[in-house]
Amino acid sequence: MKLSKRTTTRTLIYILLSLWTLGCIYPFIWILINSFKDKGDILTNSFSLPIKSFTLDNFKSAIFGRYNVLQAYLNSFIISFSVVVLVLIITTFSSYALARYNFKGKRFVYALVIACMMFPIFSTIFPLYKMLVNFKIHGTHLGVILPQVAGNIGFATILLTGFIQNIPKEVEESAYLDGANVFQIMRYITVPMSKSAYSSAAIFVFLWSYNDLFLQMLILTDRRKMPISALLREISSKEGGTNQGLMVAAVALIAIPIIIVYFFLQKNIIKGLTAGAVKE
Amino acid sequence: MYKKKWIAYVMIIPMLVFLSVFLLYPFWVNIKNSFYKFESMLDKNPVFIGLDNYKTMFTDKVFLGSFINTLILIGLVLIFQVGIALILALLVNSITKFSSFFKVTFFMPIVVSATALGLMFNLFYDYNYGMFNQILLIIGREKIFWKDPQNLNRLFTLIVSPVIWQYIGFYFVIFLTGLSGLSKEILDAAEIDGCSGLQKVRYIQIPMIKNITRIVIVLGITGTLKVFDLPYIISPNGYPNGKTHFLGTYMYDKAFNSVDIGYAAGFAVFIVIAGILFSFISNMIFRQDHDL
Repeated sequence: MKLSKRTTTRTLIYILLSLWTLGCIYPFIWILINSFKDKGDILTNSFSLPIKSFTLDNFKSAIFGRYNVLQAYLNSFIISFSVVVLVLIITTFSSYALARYNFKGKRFVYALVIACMMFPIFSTIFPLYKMLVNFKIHGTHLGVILPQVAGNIGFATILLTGFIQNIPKEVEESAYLDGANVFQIMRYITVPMSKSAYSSAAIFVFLWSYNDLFLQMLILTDRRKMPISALLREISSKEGGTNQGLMVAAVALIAIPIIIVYFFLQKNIIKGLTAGAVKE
Repeated sequence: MYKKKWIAYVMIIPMLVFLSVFLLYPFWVNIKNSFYKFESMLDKNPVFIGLDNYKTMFTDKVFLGSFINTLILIGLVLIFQVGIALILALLVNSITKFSSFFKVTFFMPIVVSATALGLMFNLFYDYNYGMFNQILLIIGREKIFWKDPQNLNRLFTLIVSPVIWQYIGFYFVIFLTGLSGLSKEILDAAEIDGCSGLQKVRYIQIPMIKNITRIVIVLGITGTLKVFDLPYIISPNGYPNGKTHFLGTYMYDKAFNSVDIGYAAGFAVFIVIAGILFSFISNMIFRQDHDL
């Protein structure tokens, strides 16, 4: 009797969780199957598989049409990749200093880094905008990259500092006694040992940079320079109402690659998130 | 080996330069701007008007509306987003098989950009071909004009549901981490003492992850104050007539459509202060009852 009650509860739990899974996945499946259908089929028959009306036209018009989606991908990649590289270089040093050295003002710096994570982009955007115009980098990729680097440094520093603090100092110290200098120690010991923290930080910074619409939209006005999110918004505001096939393909083009990457990297992503959030 | 302090200073300089130039300095200028009236984007001689921008805010109906909308959303986020996340975490924590599968799928919506999600939900809500109306037709009902501006409650629900839905997985993962860190002995001991599953949840698990709950609530509130992308795409410019604005979208509207820089700067300051205040309050509430 007791056993059967347990089994029912467990079955119920699995049913509930499966329903929520469906709620998380199905929207993207719907997008994917409809991106291979012609317009008529999307309008009337959006739940079936794209067998009868299979077509690649939506992707053709999204990629080779008036909007250059491939160029936008390239722009996204240039921006987000540069942001990740810059953030990791800068935070390699800042986190090592914060984790290993005791210097005057360390607590203050740490508090400052956390405070900087709290500023919403709204609270800096206008002066920032003016500054970028003055620096003559408004409308360029650099104009998006630099503020995004600043916006992500805090998170990456906290994540890496926390990780390095948990690595025992002994290895570093013995290398030091053997005559290695601090930079060699970082290069050959600390950084390689923190690989998993680095990959989490890199993935998160990449995601945030890739997904950030606000800055991209304000700073890049030239369509050829826009990354994928900004271009998609542009497409939807110009033709969203009429060209359903194009819209579905556009959403698929932005969402599906990132979901595929996510499935390969999910372990690092989830681990990094909890490390970052719970340490705060 | 960590004696040479100057190395540490050299190492943090690049970070401090970036934070100062691109965050702290603009933030400071923004506070200053909120006391001025600007005539244009690049107005060189704005007029000092003291607290007028702040006074205007509290007579501006759209601002008050956007503030109320944001408060309602915070309430919904705390009830539904945090609530569902906690329930899902408790459920996943209680099973042994497939738990990492659920973790991966629940988290998935977060990696997709809010832009793509907004466009996707627009496809669901569309009158002519949207997924929702197709479901209605299949079950033999009439199509609905989902984004009907007359029906503000429904419109509001349509805007906030994706916002809430997207981030449930985020808090779910945080809760789950907290739950899986609880010591097994206490839970086993409780079970031996005849504690039922629900009692375990109520009297042991929830009180023991209180710290995590506090973090989640603060993250939820500050995140909601910043909400922008999804409402901006689903309901541009607070359609209809600014009635569905949130603090972020209305600030954007003021800064870049009406070019009222000083006023928008005041908003930004307001958002930051509200964030600090709310986090402070929720910290206090959660620290008060020690006996739990």
